[in-house]
Amino acid sequence: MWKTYIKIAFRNIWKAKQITFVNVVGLSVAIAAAMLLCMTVYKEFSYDNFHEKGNRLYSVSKVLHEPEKISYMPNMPHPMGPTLKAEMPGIVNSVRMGNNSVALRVNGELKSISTIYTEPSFFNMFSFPVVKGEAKLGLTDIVLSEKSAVTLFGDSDPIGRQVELKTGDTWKALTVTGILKNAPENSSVGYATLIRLENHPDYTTNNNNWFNVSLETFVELQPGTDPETIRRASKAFLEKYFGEDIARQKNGGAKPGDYGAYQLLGLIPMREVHFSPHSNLGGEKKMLVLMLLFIAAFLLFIASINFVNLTLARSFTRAREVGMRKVMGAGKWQLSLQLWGEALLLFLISLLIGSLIAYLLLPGYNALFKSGVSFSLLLEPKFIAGIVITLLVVTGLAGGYPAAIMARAQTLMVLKGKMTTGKTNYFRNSLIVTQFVFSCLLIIATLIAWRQMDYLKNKPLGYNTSEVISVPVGPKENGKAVLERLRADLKGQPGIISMTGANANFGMGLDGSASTSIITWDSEGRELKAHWLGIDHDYAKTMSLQLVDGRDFSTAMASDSNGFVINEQMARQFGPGKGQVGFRFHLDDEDPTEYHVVGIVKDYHFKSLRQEIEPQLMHVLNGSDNVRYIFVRVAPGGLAASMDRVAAAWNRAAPQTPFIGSFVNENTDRQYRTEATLTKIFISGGVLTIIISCMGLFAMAVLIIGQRTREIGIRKVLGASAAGVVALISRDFLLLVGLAILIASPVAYFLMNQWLKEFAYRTDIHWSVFVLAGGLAMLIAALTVSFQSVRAALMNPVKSLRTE
Amino acid sequence: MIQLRNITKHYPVGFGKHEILKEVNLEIGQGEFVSIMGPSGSGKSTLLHILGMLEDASEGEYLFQNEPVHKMNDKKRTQLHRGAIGFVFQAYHLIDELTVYENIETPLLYKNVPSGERKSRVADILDRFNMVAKKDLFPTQLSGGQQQLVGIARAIVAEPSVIFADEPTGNLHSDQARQIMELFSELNKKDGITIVQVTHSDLNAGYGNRVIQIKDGKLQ
Repeated sequence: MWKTYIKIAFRNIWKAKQITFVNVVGLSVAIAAAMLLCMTVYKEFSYDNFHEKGNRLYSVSKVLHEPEKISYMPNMPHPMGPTLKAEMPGIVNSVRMGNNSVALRVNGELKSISTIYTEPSFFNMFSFPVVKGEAKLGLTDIVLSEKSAVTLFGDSDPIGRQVELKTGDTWKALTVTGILKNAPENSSVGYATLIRLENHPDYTTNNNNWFNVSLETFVELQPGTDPETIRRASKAFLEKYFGEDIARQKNGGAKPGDYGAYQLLGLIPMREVHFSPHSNLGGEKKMLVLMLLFIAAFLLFIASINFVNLTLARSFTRAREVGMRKVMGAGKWQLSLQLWGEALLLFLISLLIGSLIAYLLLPGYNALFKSGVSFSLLLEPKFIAGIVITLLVVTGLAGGYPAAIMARAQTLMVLKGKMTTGKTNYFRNSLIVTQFVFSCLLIIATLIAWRQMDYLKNKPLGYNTSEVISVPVGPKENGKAVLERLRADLKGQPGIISMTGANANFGMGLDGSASTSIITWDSEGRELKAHWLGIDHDYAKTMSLQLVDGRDFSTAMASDSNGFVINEQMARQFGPGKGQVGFRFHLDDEDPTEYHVVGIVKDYHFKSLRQEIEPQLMHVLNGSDNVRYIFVRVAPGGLAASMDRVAAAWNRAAPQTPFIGSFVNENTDRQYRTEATLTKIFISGGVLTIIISCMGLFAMAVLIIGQRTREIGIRKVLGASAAGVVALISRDFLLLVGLAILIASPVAYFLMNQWLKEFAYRTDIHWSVFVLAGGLAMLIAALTVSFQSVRAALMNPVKSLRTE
Repeated sequence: MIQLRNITKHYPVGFGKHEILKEVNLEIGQGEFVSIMGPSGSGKSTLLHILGMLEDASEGEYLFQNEPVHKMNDKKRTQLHRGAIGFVFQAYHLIDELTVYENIETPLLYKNVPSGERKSRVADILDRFNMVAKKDLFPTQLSGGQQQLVGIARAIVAEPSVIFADEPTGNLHSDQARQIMELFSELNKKDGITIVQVTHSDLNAGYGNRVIQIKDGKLQ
């Protein structure tokens, strides 16, 4: 029996080659895309699932109830971890981690590598297996990952070997004690090297400081401890150590949150860190990942719709066979199974081709979306189970539904060929509409996201982005010294206009780092808050900031060390009569230093356009707070030549550090990576849905025209023109697409409006977007159908009549 | 073997109903060769469909081999279709995707006949109908008469006790028709298969041993 089923399935596939081809190609593409997307989603949701103590590990953050808002602090001060462990019942262990880039000397060779300053409990709490040596982290020890062991030592055995760590201007010898397996791709905690926290340059100043927050802190709870009890207990704990802060919040008019607390600890479960907006290790947008899953699902969905539609349409020709089989005594089950089996066969073929496509596309996909998934994921039992379930569900729906309809139909009706009733046409049409609703939705979303990206890229930011080169200094060099060397070197060189430095970059530079410092202080009972930026002189000049009043910092003025250049928002925050050049103030009621305003610059977007411009204080960098980024303003002509000139000068000034300069506009564009990725997803998803929908439409046109050959022939004999016939056939399809546009537009408007709300600065949703998207969908659909309809219309009527 | 008692069939039309069969009483015994005749629209096809359990009567009782058909469930009817009943259609209704051999084999597959026996039974029939040479051809490669031969071969391969034929020669010219009717006659006499056919032709009716005239849904 099975043999005949398979035989007849193959003969059927062969008989309807064109349609089968469309079916298989559409499905394969959908499966390939869905597979890639699901692998990404799977990876994202599998983050940190490998820690043995995973369900007892929590990342510590702090929730602050401030007068106007609730804010979250992802970083903890140095004493937090040990004190929590000592004083808070239920917490059995804690680990602190500070991530930084360090300079190491191995055999006299200088290497820059990232490290985690941490403590031995790291090995105890997290499950990162040791491959060699032991997980021992004494004050003069260093632990490497497999990868960095190769980077630092090549093929030789690093255990017991010495490296020298640059701390300030001295070198400290460390011994390699162990090598850890590389952190898995799905680990929030990544590492290249591990060094004791005590080796951090700021350890002594920060060790007992509760107010300088810089460390990731994780705690391990006693088995059976409810994190909520820790949260409740943290109120008293925080009142003990942050009493002043809390009093200030209270005075400022903040409303207390849970348990009447102004400050509470937030414990983020290990498995949720990756998606948590309140952890520095996480921040992955769950929305985005779910969107991927959604796109994967609906790609499969529309490909399945094609399948259902084509099978239903073809059931017309299959009807006689089904009817005859019923007369011969085939059970409903046997018939459904046979038809479902045929669907399954097609799906298996598509699955094979789809897997192959996915395999071939994987490198490109990883590059495009920076997803870092590997094909070995496919072999995970959960993933295989997922594929099997999806296969069964999709074949069940796409193959089983038409099968069930045919199998259940009245034998006599089927035998008489009365299969395509009005009801199935409704069903079929609503499926086509659904497909095009999705397609239009994605086209509209793409257009809106595109416009917003365009807006973000082209909105004037209030400073020069296209002619300023930003160079990260890196950990090996003293930034101020390098800046001075560059100044001397490049002075008077053609194309170089001016130069400055700062301790934070614009946007995201090639070192992949971005930072924000915020300072709050009390001023006459009012809490003031400002972004805190350290700059070198000539900052306003180099960045083309517009001075509203006063002047830039200058080398000539010694008093500048207590001066500030502020922005207009800051001036406004100081209040009328105060925010002006020469205004004197204290940053703390107890701090005797008197500061003054040197200059006021026009508001500029020093952060991304997602945020409103906030008050900013800029001070002159000196001492330990060093220049970390150097900015060089160059002349508008010959940008590339200037870049080369700066690079050459850099190599003379800092030969140990490779030059990774970039123009500031590249950096500011980079901060919209999420949006850029989203746009890419929209576009790819949109293109795929349209292609698959159109394949379905194409095949449907083939079938419908096939069924209407006689009608078309008669109409032509009666004098219908070719154009008339094309219009007749296309009209039905285009009506469906039009309906889809009407449904999709409001939905897209609503969704994209939500998305745009994330930006403080955004474009409006213009009506032309909908017209354009609708026109595009209409045009593509019309073209697709016309391939077939024109052919049918031009056919010799005698010929088409003879086919009946 | 077949007993119809007060069989009525009507379809709803608007607020009223359209009666196709009215109070039909009919008995057909084992081994009979019955021809149902009547003008177009008289209800003869409907009667055949009811006899063949492809349609249900609206009212009345139908006993097939002394079992009440009107009380049977789908499963039992499917069982009868597999074993006891064979069909022959005017349009042959062969499965285009299957070869002659496979078409004939299909009823046996549904009857769960073991592979060896299946082969021998299909071979016997092919032999008997002189179609061995054509067993690997597809229906579209055969003439109408040959297709109908395959249709009959398929109907009898499961060894039914009754064959219902709906204008089996309607699409054939007279030579082919004669051949088919002789075959029916032989099956009736030699194999003892009960045959009920619907026909327009007196000539064809002549092969049977009883003619039932039907007009406006009533047996004459």
